[in-house]
Amino acid sequence: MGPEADLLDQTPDGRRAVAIYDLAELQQLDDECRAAAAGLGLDVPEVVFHLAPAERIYDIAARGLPGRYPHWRFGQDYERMKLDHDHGRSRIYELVLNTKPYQAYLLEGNSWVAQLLVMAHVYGHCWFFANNGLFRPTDRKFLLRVRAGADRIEDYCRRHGRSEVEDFVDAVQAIAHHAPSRLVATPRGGPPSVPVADRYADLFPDETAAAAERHREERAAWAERVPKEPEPDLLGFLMGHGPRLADWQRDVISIIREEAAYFFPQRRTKIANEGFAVWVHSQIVQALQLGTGEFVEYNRLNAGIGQPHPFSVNPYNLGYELWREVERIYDHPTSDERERFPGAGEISGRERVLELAATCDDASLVAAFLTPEVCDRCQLYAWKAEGATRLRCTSREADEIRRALVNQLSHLSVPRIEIVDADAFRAGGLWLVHRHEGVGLDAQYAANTLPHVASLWGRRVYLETVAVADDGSTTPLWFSCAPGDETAEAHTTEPEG
Amino acid sequence: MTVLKDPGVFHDDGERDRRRNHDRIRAQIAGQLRERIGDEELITAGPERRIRVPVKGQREWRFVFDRGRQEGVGQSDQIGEGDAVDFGPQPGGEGEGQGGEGGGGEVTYEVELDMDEVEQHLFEQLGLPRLAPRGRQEAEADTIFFDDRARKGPLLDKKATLRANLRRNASAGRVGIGDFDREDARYLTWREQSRPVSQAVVFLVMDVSGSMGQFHKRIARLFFWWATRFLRRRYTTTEIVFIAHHTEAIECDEQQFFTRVESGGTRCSAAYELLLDIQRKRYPVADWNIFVAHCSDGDNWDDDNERLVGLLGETAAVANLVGYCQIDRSTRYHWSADHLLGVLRKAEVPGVVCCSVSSDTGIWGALKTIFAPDESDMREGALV
Repeated sequence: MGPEADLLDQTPDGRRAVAIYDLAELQQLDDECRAAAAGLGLDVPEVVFHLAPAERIYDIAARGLPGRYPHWRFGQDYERMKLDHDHGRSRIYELVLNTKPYQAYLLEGNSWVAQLLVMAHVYGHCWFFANNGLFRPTDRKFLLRVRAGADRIEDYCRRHGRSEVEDFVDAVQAIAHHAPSRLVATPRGGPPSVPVADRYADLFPDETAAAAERHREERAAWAERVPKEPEPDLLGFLMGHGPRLADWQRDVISIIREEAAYFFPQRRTKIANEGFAVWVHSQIVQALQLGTGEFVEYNRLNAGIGQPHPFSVNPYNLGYELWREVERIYDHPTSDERERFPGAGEISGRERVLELAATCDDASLVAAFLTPEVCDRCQLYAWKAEGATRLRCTSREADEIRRALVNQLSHLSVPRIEIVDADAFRAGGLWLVHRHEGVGLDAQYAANTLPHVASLWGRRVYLETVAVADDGSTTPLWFSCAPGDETAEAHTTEPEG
Repeated sequence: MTVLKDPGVFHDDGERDRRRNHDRIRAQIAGQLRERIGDEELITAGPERRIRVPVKGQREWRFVFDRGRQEGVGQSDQIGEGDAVDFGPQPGGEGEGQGGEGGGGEVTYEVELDMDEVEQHLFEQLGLPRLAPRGRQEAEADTIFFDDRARKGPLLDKKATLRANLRRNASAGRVGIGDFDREDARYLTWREQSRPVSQAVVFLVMDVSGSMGQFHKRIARLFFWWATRFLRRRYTTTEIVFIAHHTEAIECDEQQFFTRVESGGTRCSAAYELLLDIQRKRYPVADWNIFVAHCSDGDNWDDDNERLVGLLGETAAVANLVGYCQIDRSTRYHWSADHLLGVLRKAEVPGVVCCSVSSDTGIWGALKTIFAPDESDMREGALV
């Protein structure tokens, strides 16, 4: 079933919603969108829209970026997404690339109204990309690097065999998200500082000598220690220090690490970015003054986008409500809000939205603006899992929901794991620590992921984490494995070499 | 600013990755296809049709939180404080990152195959056994693909060589092309698609007598349909002779063979008389590898059995292999002396392989028994 059929089936009152349009008309629509955005005071950047068939769009969606390196996983993701699309379970509405110029894709066969909505929405994203500080480090000529990286990996496949390269890529991808934000400066501690000379040192010659000796030892230990400080950038460290890696393998790591860095700000601003794009497209569509039939279609599409997710949060829905709340607070603050939000009632809501969109990420936006009203409108509730297939609603209070959501948004489902020692037991072992904050790791996943790390490091690796009991108490837990092991072994006592 | 039409060409990356994924899970796919070997959807699919096969997705291992203790936020007005809810095996807590960067668990999805791939997966384990180089060695040139690079060889790939030189210079800290070395040279190299040069003829013999009910006919036709698909695909120089029989046997063309409706008693010996006659006239043993596959409900005239066993022995003496496949709903009486299978089992004619089919899914087993490749063939012919 093609996309046309899909839309025709769902059209209310049986009218044809699939308007026949040509490129010129789309171009005109684009011009109108831009004019409307300018009228709203949004300085939207240049965007190139590609009208493409579903196969092409899902192909890019599966690999995240066009022209990415060859890998079986992209084939699997494509077929999963395409199946959902063909069965009408999900649809991609927008696909935007944060490059210069910005590139976006329009699905062939979508109704005229759907194309309008996507264009207006994309302009929201592009404004966000262009103005939000988190995206400042993004290289906007990144696609060229992606293509060049793909060519090199293709070349490695020819030289070293496709299976070997693919297995290596699998191992690297397994830990690709364990990279620190580029915006957070990692502390670089120096050597232990020299003790300050003591006026009375001469009175205690033995103690002074012992202190000096201790200091020398600490310095010597520090000089030998690798890494100097716990290292959260797993791929970066392996690329630099992996003792068994060939040059092509280091290159593959660098390619995948860079691509993960491209996606990182997008992962951190999913709610803010989508919400902002909905905020922008609603205003553009309002400014364009649609006919009744078109407006019905627009509302139907909008309702689909904003559908609540029962066990997670729909970023379009929550994001839009958050931005509306920002606008409301600054335009019509209560006396309490006047105190809590500096500038409320003085600067306009729109102005404040644009200011915040340029600086916030999801966690900060939610922390500041998830009010009880927003929780109500989005029907939010906080849950805690009880086993793998059951969850319990712990609260419907805004404070508790906010705490749970901010917590989730600050780790983005990636546990914090750091390399603390690259010469464990003086035998070149790699020692990793999970900074747990009361939630342990999924044991099955940990036992199957650690072998990937071992294969990259080329020697034995250890992972220190915790097992959490039902009452919330934690006991230490270790995993270890050598290169070539199928799965890692779990230990309840600390491994000794 | 600009709206462009996607050119829609030059993007074979997706197709390449899909094929690669299918290759990795080919055991799963082949297993699913074998289950569906009697499925009309497969038989009626034209070259354009695509078949969907459910498979288990491969897990992506990551360090993830203990899902049994995770916290999260959801959206619902149905769930009150303190309520417990069951959800699927995957919790919703995982935020799907933009561009398919989300984590994945074990999910069942469907892969899409065209008929070419379907046959490739299905026939991977089949072959013609004991094929000997016989006959005029038809010098059919093997298909050659120049799609690889090597460090040695006769055909220099200049572009790849320049690239290698640039790369080596760069790693030595020099910029630009120059200072060529043996090490830089890259050569085009090729893959050959091997095709057996030996000639073979396959006799497909089908019982069309009155005792063959709808069920028997269906299985026999499915069996022969797949057999011809397989033979045509794997061996371009293989000839196929179609023989239908009841009390009499006739040679017919492919279309008649599959659509024929007949009735009457069964005298299997008639088929082998005709077969041997054709073989003597057109396919001398010195030039041809000879294979026979015969499907019947096993209901042969009693007084014909002795003659049949004799003829079978004669056929087996000239043929590389004679495969007999008995079709019956129940397997209980297969070995009784009333049925051909029992008779053949008792006679123990060397060179005759027997099997039985009692359901659609059994067809695969029969194909595998009769078209079982030799050990050495298995290794070479692994990829069709």
